[in-house]
Amino acid sequence: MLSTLGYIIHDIRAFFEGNGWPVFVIVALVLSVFFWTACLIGIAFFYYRDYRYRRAYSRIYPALRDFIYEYILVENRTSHFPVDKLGLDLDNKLVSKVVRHILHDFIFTIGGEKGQSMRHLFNELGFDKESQYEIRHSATNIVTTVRSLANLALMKVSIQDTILDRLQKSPQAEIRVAASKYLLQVEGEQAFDKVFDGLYGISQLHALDIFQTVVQGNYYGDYAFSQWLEVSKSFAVNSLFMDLMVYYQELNEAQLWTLITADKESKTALKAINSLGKLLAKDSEERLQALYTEESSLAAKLEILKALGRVGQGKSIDFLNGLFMDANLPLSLRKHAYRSLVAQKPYSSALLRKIEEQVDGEERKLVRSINHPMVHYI
Amino acid sequence: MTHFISSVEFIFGLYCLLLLAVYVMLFRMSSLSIRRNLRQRGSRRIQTLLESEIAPGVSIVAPAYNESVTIVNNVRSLMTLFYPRYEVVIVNDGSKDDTLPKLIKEFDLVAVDFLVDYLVPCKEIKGIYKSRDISHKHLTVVDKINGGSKADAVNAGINVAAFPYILNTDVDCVLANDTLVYLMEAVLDAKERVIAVGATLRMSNSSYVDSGMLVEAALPKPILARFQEMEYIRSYLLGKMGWNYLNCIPNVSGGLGLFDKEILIAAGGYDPKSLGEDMEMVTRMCMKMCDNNEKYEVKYIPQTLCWTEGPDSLKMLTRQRIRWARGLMQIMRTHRKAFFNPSYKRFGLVVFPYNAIFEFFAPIMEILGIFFYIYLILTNGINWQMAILLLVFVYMFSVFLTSFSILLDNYVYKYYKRRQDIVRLCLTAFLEPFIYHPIIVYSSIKGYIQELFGKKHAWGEMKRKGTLTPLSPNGAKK
Amino acid sequence: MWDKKKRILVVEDNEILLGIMQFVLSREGYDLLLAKSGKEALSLVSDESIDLIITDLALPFANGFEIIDRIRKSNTNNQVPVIIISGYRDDNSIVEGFEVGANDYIKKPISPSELISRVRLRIGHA
Repeated sequence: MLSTLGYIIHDIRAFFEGNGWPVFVIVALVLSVFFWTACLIGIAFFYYRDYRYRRAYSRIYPALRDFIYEYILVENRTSHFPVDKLGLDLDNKLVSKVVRHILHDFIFTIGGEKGQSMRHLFNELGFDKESQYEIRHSATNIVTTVRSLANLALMKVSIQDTILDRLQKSPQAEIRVAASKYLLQVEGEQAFDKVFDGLYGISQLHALDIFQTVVQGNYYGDYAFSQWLEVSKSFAVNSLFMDLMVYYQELNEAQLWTLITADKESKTALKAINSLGKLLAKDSEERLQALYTEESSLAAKLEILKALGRVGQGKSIDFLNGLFMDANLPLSLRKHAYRSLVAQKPYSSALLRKIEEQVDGEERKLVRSINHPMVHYI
Repeated sequence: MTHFISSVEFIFGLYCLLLLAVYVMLFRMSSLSIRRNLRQRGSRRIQTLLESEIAPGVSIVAPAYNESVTIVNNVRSLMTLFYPRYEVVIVNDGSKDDTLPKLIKEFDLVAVDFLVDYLVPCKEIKGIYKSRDISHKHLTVVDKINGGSKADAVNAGINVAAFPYILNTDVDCVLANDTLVYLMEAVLDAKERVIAVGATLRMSNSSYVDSGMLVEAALPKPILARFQEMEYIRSYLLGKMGWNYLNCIPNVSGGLGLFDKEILIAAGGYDPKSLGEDMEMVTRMCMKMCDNNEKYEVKYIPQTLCWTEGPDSLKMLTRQRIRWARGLMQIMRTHRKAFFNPSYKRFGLVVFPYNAIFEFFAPIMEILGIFFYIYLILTNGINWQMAILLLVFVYMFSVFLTSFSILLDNYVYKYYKRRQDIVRLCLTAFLEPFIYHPIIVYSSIKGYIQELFGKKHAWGEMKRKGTLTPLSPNGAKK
Repeated sequence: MWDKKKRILVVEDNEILLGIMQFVLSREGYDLLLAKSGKEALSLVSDESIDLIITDLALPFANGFEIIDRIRKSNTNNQVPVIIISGYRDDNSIVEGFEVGANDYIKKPISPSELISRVRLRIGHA
């Protein structure tokens, strides 16, 4: 073993002591010069690309803007726009890119009926066909596919089931999320089951994006988001459902408790405790209190205390008071115990008055700090 | 004797080859990781997080010491970042001028009762101020006894911060409006828990800054600042983005870094004794995560979000670099147990050894190399043809790497509006090895020597003089 | 003068939205002042007589909250009605907007006809 290593070192040395070095260095030098030239060309290219884009933009923007003002804002047209008047060569990739960017900006700025008209204009300019083509043919290009799906959703154009199905099963999370968002935007409530059933491998940002899509879709109903909570699912997925539950005030204590008891230290459990609080799960007050005593991590204890403040119906007052008065506990726990007492007014009013009269020293400072009107959410 | 010489040659040759291999790797990895970033960026709208009702909160912590001249504008600029949920915590680190009175007057501050929970150690906090204006209710000013270091001041801010994420910056840094959105996107769009995120920094020296707000970025005119800008671009886009690909980032600079507060506190907060407190903090956070057997990510994004004023005199620059060098040496010494320690996983096996062998030893090897050259010349043992060939290659390779990072920078975004700026920057790459690089090597060596002989560092004095940058783009090419 | 046109200050850093509001509101006959940053807005407020302010929240130099707060605390023209137009959709921002003294809050994207009727509600026809 050692001798082979010796041979290898010997060989390397032999190479470099012979003609190896000069050959090696000359090749490397030529390569460096070559790549350096390529870099300069690349920089020049990026500058040129940017210049072309800006030139096209400054040419197209005024025309398109005036067109939109004239037909959508003044004439109140909703469809059948005389797009030929614009004289745009949309087959040109650059032109089509600039037009798309400008229209996007308008669509995300104008809402209501005029917003609808904007989307129709987008459609009539031929972007539906372009996007339909893209989702069929550039399945590997994430940016193009995601963008096309978003465009089709804006235009509310339907996509063939087989294609949508394929996109929803894409190995790329970005594409799966885009397909889900498409479904939510186009089909609304009807798509809930389909979207939530196939959700996996998404990041927290994706979850936030889907949440936003649902919430901004003007859905108001009593869909049971909690049915999709599952211990085996990732934090991002479970957290999305919990956020939706909180937003639509769907309380399902049993499901949340399943998450909490499965792994008490997990982020999912912390969020579930938090959600119990935000959903005002009155029946969980005692159970939370019990959980506190068996719970070990500080983060979990803090969440429990916060939740008790929200759900509390007076049953946990003595418990909270005990924590607050315990000088051996970390300050953050005592702080939250007191805050939750304050939150439990009127049940705790008498006790709070007593505390304010009695406490001094550090406790007094703590009490005053929490009651200070200018100290927010601290 | 010949045997000795060839052995030394062999060691140097091997070292250079390894270094070359690292750079070729970085060349490839940085392109991949920037492409990945731009792809993710392209597949979402910046508004997603901006318009979100459930965006996680961020506390911006910015220490200030004798910043009376610029403090009001700088705080104002921090208060106008675009993000739905954040607060600004300014830590007045016992300023001797009227920094605090100015803040009190401008923002109508009053002292409030506030019981500070000292979660990480810092000097005593004398008072907490909040604004009477409702529009400034997200501003908190902490008045504390001077702790003699930025670390101590940031720790005080952490103790007061309310949100789960901390953005650590300096009051004299100019941040892009979208800073929080970009950084939080990076935190939320990850597989593992992200404990720290950084972004590219640049020089604000010649940029047009109005009332603490960047209006137009420009290449610094003074040559020293321009060299630094170039060094930063290379260090961030090539170095940090390259290591980002392997999740092996050694440092998130103190000028702009977003941290997970829970881990920050669990790791014990910033070390006031460290001269490279930013890198030391990230090191400890990584080690803490490994100790707890938790998976984590330290990330960088290629977009420039922060403009900082670089030292504009030779004296200031060397002083800053001496401090970084000493900081690096301290870290190598204090955390040496991580060196090739498999229980610290990629941190122990890649990040730390890389730092030790290439970041820390590079200046030493360079100096030794020069001595060796001189020795060879004196003993007539030099192969001139070969030596010159080598020098030309190393020179060209460094110019190429710099040009490549400028290319990457332009790929991300075109920051200079004027075309001549980019031409000048490309030309600067040719001068750097002759003028700037020797200064950096000299400062590093001087720093190591000072640290070895335990000379006390003039930390306080230096920082106080004004607008200097206590941040270190580590991974800067040595 | 009784027949003077009503004057609206529009503060918005997004060119497109600013353009649309300018177009829509001037067609309704209002006189418009435009500002692209908080700083411009504040200097206009102190110099000009204004009947209504429409402002974004995320603005450079001084955000919308601060603009409103400063106007409400100033000596002149502190009763001028203010409408916020913002992309922030969270409760905190909306509540804070009303706390500093805004009269209305419109979330982006805006409907031009809705904007006009909300403007009319505050200051009547031009």
